[in-house]
Amino acid sequence: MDDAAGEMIRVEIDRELMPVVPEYLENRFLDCAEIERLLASGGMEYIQIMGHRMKGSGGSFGFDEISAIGEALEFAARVPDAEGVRSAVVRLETYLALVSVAYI
Amino acid sequence: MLRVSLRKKFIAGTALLILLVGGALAVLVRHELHKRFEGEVYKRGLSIARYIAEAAEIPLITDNNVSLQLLVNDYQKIDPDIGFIFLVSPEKKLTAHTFGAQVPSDVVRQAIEKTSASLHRIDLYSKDGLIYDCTVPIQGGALGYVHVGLYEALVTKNVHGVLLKMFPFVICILVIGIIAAIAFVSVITRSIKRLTDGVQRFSNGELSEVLSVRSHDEIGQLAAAFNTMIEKLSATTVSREYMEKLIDSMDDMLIVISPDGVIQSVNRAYCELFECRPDEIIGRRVDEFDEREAPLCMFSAFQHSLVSGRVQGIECTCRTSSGTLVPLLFSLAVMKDDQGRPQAIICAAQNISNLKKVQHALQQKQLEIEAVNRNLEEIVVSRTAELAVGNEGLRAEVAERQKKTEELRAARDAAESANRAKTEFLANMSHEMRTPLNSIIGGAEYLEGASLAPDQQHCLEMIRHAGDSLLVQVNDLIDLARIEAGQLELLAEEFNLADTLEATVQMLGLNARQKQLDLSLAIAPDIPHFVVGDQARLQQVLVNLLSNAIKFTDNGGKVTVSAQRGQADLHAIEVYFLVRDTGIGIESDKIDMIFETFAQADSSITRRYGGSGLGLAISRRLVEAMGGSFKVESVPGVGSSFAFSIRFPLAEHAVAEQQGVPDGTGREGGLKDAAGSEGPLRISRVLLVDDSLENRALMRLLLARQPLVVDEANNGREALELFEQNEYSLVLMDIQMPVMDGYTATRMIRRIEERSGRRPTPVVALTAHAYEADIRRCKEAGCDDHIAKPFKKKGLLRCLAGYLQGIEHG
Repeated sequence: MDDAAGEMIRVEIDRELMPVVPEYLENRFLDCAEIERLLASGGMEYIQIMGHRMKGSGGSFGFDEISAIGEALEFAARVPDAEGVRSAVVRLETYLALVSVAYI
Repeated sequence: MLRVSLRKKFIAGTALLILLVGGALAVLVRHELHKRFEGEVYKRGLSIARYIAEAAEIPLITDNNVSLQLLVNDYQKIDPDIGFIFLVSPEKKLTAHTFGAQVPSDVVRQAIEKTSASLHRIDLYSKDGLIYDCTVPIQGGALGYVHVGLYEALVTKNVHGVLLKMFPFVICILVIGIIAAIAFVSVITRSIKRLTDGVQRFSNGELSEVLSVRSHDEIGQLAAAFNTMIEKLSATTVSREYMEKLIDSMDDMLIVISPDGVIQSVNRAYCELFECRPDEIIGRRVDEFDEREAPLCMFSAFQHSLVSGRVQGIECTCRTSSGTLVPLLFSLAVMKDDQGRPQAIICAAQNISNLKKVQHALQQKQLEIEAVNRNLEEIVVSRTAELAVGNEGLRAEVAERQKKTEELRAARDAAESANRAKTEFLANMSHEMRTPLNSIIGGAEYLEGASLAPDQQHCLEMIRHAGDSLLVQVNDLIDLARIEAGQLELLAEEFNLADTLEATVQMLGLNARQKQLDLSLAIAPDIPHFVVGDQARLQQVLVNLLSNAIKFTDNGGKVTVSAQRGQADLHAIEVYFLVRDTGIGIESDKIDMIFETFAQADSSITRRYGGSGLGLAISRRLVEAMGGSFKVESVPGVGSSFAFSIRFPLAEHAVAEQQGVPDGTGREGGLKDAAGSEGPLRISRVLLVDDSLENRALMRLLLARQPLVVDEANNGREALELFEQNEYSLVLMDIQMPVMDGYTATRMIRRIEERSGRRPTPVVALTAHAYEADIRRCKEAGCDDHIAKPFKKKGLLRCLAGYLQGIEHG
């Protein structure tokens, strides 16, 4: 569940998923850099796949916003719309910077 | 010349014909009527003359001229059509008459002269017209003659009366005839009009439309013949418009010249090059052209073509109206008629500017290539010399490498020899250590019965515990040494698999209870009890795994041992063993390390939990020696699953069991805890197919507490390999994957099942494609169900519970 508290975004996640959540978020950080690199080299097809995977996995890990960003990313890459891809990356970077996980 | 249509001509002709026939008929009728009326008038005149002759006998005899005169007057009054009546005496003198004062002497004279003794008619001509004189003798002419005169006008009047009555009828006939002629002509001319229109269209080049005349008369036959002609022409002829388009679409110029040198036509390409209109060119003579209108050499070529018939491949230059010089390549050909006389000369010219440029560029390139070739030859000579020097160096390097290889081989042989020596030393030393160690443990056991002080008792327990521990490690060393020396011998004896498992669990039950662990055993009911193999080695592996699980699981945790049936036939069965715990788990990058000798995932573990680190290495080697394979899944903080499979030959009485014959033991598989209670739980084997490591890790976590063995595949192809080797209760199939996607993999799974006769395995698609069409596509590929990504644990387990036993999804 996403909950804005001040600037931070608090997300409550089942304690059972604790072993995998930090790595998942770390991988999304890496995705941002990878997408920037692919964007420069015109690799829209792979960006689309990354967006599709993000869309499918985010909510399963408890991050519905990542699923929504993944969907936007997949759509922009399919068009292809470089500006749309950049916008999705900025949105993802902002979310990752602000998200705070609370295990319940 | 006056243009009169066929319609008008036909109508006029028909009217004329009717008039001519009517006129002829009228003349004939008039003649016949006249003849008939003439006869009737004569008869009437004779009748009157006969009456008067009879009546005049008495007055003539009595010579009573007054009575005679009254007689003739009365008769004339009675019949007004009578022209005159007169009586002539035998002496040819008038005795009575109706002429009055003026007697027409010429008429009377003609009558008297032509009178004869018999009854007759005499035609008299007077100034008033023809008179029919009917003469009757009185008493045979003895008393004279009676003459009654009737004018022809009476006959004419009657004839005209009849003809007047016939006139409306004739007019009607005429009108009807003309109307019929118009109708008839309309029918004919309409067909002719269609025929004419069709011919007109044909002359305009429209060959696609056929004539619509459907009559079966001569015009219909003409139209049909015409349609046939158009059809044949359409198949063999192209229209002028088509030809003009074709010629205009050519990029080459085309000029048609008559034999006397007059331009007949030019195409678009010509007009574009010389910037003119066709009507400015057509009709002019070729010798009038200047260099801005055509190639000047064209005229001489034209003259030459008239003589020789064909002129080809002439290159020349012409100047366009803009002054640009354009190189042209042109040819002329003569078109001749059937008698071989020239009809036209066709000149085709091609703008070869680009060709010339390419030719020029090729020439330049040729020069460059020649220059490069010259340089290349020099380079080749130079490089050949350099390579000769380099080859010498390479030969020396090869020799050096061969020397190094020999040295490495010698070093490897020395290392292998040292390793064998180490193994032999370990084996010998272990044997040597075990003998005094058994003495120490035996001595400690002996002293257990002695009466010792508490501190002495504690010291004795320490010795006993250290001795046991050391013995285990020494035994491990001996096993390892045997395995590495290739001296491991496996037995092939019949044993009870279920009893072995239960004994193993019971053996370690005490340790589990000491840590308050929930230790349970699940044996699938379809596993035969008696198999052939090395029971001791199997138990050694199970004890190793189970003791590790108990060791690395904190108080209150859960440890499960299960055995599942794999592929089987009448003579052998594959059994999957699984030991799962909820212990500390292993980092994924350290899983491979735990199977290495003298290694544990973390050195702190050795310090905390103890152990030589040989157990798993020995277990894996034992399983591999028994023909099986090992698999580990672990999530730090959640737990670990150690699984291995071994294929056992079946004992003789187990073959009967395999065929469904009960063995009389009444044993049934099920979940048993350490206390021996039974439950209906069954372990299911699931194949998870997903190319994302993250998703697979998540799925492992979510399914960790479920009674499942989860095999993983990275893509569809890996999934197919696993599916062919194993039997699964369910397949979780991601759709979008590299190498082979989920749709293809599912279709292939269905094909494998169909081919091998296996029961259909439920396949649940996992995909972020969540539209109706995507779900339908999954179903079409053979998926039974669909879980949309992202999914929640509850939804996942609810779906699995529909296919598998024991899934908790509340």
